[in-house]
Amino acid sequence: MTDYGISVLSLICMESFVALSTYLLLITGQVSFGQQAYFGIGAYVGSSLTALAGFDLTFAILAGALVAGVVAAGVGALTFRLGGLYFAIATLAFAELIRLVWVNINYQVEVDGFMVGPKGSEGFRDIRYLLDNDISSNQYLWIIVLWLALVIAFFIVLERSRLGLAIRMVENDETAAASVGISPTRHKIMAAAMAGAIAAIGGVLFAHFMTFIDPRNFGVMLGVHSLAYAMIGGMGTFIGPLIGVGIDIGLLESLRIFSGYRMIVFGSLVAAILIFRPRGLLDEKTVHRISMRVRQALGNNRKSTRAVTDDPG
Amino acid sequence: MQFDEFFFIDLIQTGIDGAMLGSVYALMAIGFALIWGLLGILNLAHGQTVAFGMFAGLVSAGHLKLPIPISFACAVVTGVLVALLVERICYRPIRRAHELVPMIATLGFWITTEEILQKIYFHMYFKDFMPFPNPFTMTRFTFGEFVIRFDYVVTMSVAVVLVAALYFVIYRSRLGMALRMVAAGHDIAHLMGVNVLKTLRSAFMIAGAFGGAAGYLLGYVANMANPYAGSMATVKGLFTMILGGAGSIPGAIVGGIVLGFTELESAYLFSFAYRDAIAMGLLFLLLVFRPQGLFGTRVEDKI
Repeated sequence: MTDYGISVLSLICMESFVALSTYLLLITGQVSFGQQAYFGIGAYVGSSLTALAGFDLTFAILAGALVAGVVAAGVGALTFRLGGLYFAIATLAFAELIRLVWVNINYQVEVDGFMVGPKGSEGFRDIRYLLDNDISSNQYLWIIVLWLALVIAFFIVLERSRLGLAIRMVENDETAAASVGISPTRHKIMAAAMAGAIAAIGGVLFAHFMTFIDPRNFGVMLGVHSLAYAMIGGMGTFIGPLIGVGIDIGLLESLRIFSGYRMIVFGSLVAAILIFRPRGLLDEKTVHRISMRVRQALGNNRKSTRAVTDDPG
Repeated sequence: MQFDEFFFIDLIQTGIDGAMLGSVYALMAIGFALIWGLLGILNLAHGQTVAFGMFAGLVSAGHLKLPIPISFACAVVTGVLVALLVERICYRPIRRAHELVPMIATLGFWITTEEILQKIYFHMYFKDFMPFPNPFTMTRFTFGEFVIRFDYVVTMSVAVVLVAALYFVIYRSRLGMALRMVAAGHDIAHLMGVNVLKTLRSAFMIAGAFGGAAGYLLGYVANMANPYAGSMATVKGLFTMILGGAGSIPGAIVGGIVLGFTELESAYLFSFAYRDAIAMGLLFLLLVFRPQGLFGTRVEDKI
């Protein structure tokens, strides 16, 4: 694969973490503009651990996810009462607050004769973990894919579990959920924490991929885009946000005709798709129809094989 | 920091400047409040009326050297046109869908137009931060110990005139009556013979006019124009609206002044670097503990 292909694929995978994180909040009925905050927390915490303290990447990812998860749970506990618009603005305010922390943070340490560390608005340069450990961009892509696969596995389990059902129920009707013993508060905070952790995994991976990060990477547009990914991809299943990211970065970036005009095409596409499919390409109805179709096809096969084996002649 | 008389003089001076800067924030927030109050949707594309208004001001005053009132009018008209486009694309075709849908459509509009504007800036100037013409940069008045910048006075007076005009329209005209009726309920207004769609289009136009005006004044006060003003206006305008109470116009005005005041005072008392962070943190806490804003509004006076 060419270097270009590898970097596009890596970008798609890393954006997917933020898109999935926004999606997880969307299916609890909360519109968040602020998942870039946790992406940023992951990036800064993770790269501090590897570049300043010399920890292992895996440890950095887990630690970043943990920190972001705890922060997200805290924010979730403060904001779960706010509905709709207010929740969206509160998350946006929090994300901007975190971004301004990055703008103001100055903590440099001498490592091997170099000054390394976050340096205000100039950002955090020289995250040399991949170079120091001889990890090629191809190998790193596999590491990213592995982590994405873990997150996707989590979503597959979630969508088949009681917890997933409970979360969807909280979205549809909080009162009804509460009346059958599903605490909306607990589920919302739990979803917020998980969403924060997922975004942070992407953030750690992003920081090491880029080798330098600066506060501008974690601005409003990242959150806005991830919301758009989740919305156009569809709210029916976790594949939706992945399709959204794929459309934006994959399709538009690889079709070089649009090079440089990606955002313009993407923004118009978002508006156009939503006019025709208000809940995204893969909405709940479509997912249901497809899964029925698949189940039917599988059922027919089973029946026909049984018919064959049952046939004595 | 010494708490002597100069400290207090500077404190008051900063407060005055903050309130004047806040009048621009108020203009930005009024557009959001109008659409939220009437439609219950978040018009994320409203910031783009500010950005395009600023751009129109830059072209007409900077390039074509038109006099200030005419270039200001250009900015307002541009804002109105952008708002009409938003209404046509992002609201009208999908107004029956879930309230999130128009919001995401305006989000798409925001992403698209910001990129277009950025391309235009690069194409025209090869850079994205341009000095905005302001003939009064160095003109100031002194009142005893206090200094007042003339451009702030102009900004504030324009804001006051615009707000007065808005109040006149809302409470003293047929259109205002229709607007208040639509705010009370679309179906009721329709039954009473109000053309709801037409009224909403006027609301978008008014919001756009305020956005365009805010864009011009923002460029004028900051002495700088850039294509990212839309994002900044969306963030600050939304915060201002929430600060005052969603959908409330008096709330938007007071919220703007409070936000401008808080920003400059925290820059003076703590540090310039933390000016936005402190304002943002206070807003977050306000949302958590008093989500209805400083002046929580009752449902009946949404507008």
